[in-house]
Amino acid sequence: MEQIVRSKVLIVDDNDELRALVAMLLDVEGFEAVTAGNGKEALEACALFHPDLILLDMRMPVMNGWEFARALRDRDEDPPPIVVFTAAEDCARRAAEVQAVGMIGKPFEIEGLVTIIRRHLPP
Amino acid sequence: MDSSPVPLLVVQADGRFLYLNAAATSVLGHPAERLKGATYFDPAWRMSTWDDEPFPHEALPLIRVLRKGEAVYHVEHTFLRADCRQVLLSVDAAPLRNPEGKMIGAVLSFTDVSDRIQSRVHMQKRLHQQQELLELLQRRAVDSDAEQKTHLHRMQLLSELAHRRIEQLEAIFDHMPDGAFVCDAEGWLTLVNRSGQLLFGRSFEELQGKQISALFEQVEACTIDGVALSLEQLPPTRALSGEAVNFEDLRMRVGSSAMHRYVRISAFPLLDSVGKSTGAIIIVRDISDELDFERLKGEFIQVAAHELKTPVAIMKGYAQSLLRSAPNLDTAARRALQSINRGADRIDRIVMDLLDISQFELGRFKLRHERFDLALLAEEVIAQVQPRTGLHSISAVSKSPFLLNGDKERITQVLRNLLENAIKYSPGGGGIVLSMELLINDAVVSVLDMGIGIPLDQQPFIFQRFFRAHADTRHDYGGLGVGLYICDEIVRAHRGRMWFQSSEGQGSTFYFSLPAEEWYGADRQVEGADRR
Repeated sequence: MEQIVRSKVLIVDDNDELRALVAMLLDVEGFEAVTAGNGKEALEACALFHPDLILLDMRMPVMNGWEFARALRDRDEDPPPIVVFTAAEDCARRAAEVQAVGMIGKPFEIEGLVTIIRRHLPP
Repeated sequence: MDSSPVPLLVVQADGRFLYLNAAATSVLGHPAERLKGATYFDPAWRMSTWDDEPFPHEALPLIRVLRKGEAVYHVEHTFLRADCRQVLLSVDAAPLRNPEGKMIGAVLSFTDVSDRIQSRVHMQKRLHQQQELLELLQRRAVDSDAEQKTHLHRMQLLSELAHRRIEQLEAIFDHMPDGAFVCDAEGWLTLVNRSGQLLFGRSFEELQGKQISALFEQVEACTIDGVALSLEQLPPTRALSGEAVNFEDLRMRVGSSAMHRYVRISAFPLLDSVGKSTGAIIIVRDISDELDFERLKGEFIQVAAHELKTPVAIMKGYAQSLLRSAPNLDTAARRALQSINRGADRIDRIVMDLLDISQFELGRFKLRHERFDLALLAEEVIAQVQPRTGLHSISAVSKSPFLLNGDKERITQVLRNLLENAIKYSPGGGGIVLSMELLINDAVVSVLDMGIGIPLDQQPFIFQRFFRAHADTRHDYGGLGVGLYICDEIVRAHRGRMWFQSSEGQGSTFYFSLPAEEWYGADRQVEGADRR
């Protein structure tokens, strides 16, 4: 039997319950989900797991979304695409600030989340 | 100089009167022979302060000029005339120099300002005098007939009543938490209560005889945002010209620390019986703490609303997840989960509204402008909203593609809100029409429904925050009552305006306009152009 390679999504958010929820949702939809609680953990996760896409919350302790995106760009020549995942009103502006490929708000429709992830996964 | 209407007095450095003009002789009220060669320091003049303390020697205008070598202005002291009337003079004095430049005396000009000060001390004094006179008359009237006695007694009672009334008013005036300032027709301060003195950090003695506008200029009164105000724009000046100023907010710099204080000012003209200005009263309230509190409140709401989003997202996520992953849920469970999902959406909408409101209040509301087709947007919004109702048919009427420069997301919010209201408040169904039109300076959008309309007595408050026209009626659909307030703020931020027409039982039409220079009509210049 062929082994199906699942796309890897890194979920970065400081709320552990929300991380668990999104990880479960993505798993059901056929993705491999990895989680991190702040920017620093996310950098480590990127190095270890090489995700295909990053779902990034912006307001986190230790290292926030902006700092993470900058550090990732400095480190990786070809970083995975980022989808900003935020409760903030001005999520479009935040997405632009970190050169994200897309954004999704909180709360979200599962359909919407899945669609935007699929749309931006590298082929 | 002789015929000048301004009283002039020239005094030698040793105090000897050198020259007076006719006006001066008239005001000082003594025969010319008496004044010629008289001395400034004659105790007969009884020069005193306006509350009858002997005037300090060093403060006399002549002495100040001789000491400083410079002119002094608006020094006030009394002067006793030959007819025993004490006048209050406002004196300007300038040095008199000989051709070599040596100061040899002073030139004084002065005005009789006795009627300027109607302070409570004078009034009290007069009342006391009146009372004493009455008592004297009453004592003498012991032998006269009863009628005269009664008359005197009545006068005495009235005098006592007036006296008590004045004491009451004084007490109120002085204990008012707001600062109160009274000035005469020319703007000179005549009364300042305790709160007013505290507010400006000056005692009445320091303020008395000052111009009220100068006082406001000294504290750098400006708008809340720091825009400078001209003399004519200051509330006291406007009140003196007859305008009633109601609750305008200003910023001032007071105290040695030069901190900003924010105040709310009302100012009213004082008119006599024939409508002539006799002065103005200015009420000043310190609202610095109030504004601080509002800002804190706004920030708190913002933080709280933001914090709510994550738990709501979790709740909604699990409800949706269960609905998706268990296709053979029984109906009850399915309904329960859908209800949770809807509840989460509802909380989210309220949270968004609260965030919007806090943004408006904190002045942080920002638009993201882009060019978009309003007609196309309207179609999209209708397509989203129509499926929610089987009873209504929503149609769009537009005369052309409407290219607009504005915040697309926010305009969508306005359209959606108006359409949802139209549906909500026409429970019997019917047609809802969204139209767009270009009038000369504005693009006007309207949403018409044929529903229950708004009662006339509720209409003035429709755009007010938290106002719900149908609260506690059978059309009460809950909610915060902020939808139209938010729409109004969004439209205003675009420099447009919102209004409506409504008739109870017949329906409502809500309009909003957006200034035309903000949008680029595809073909508005050309008549009959091809509109494809």
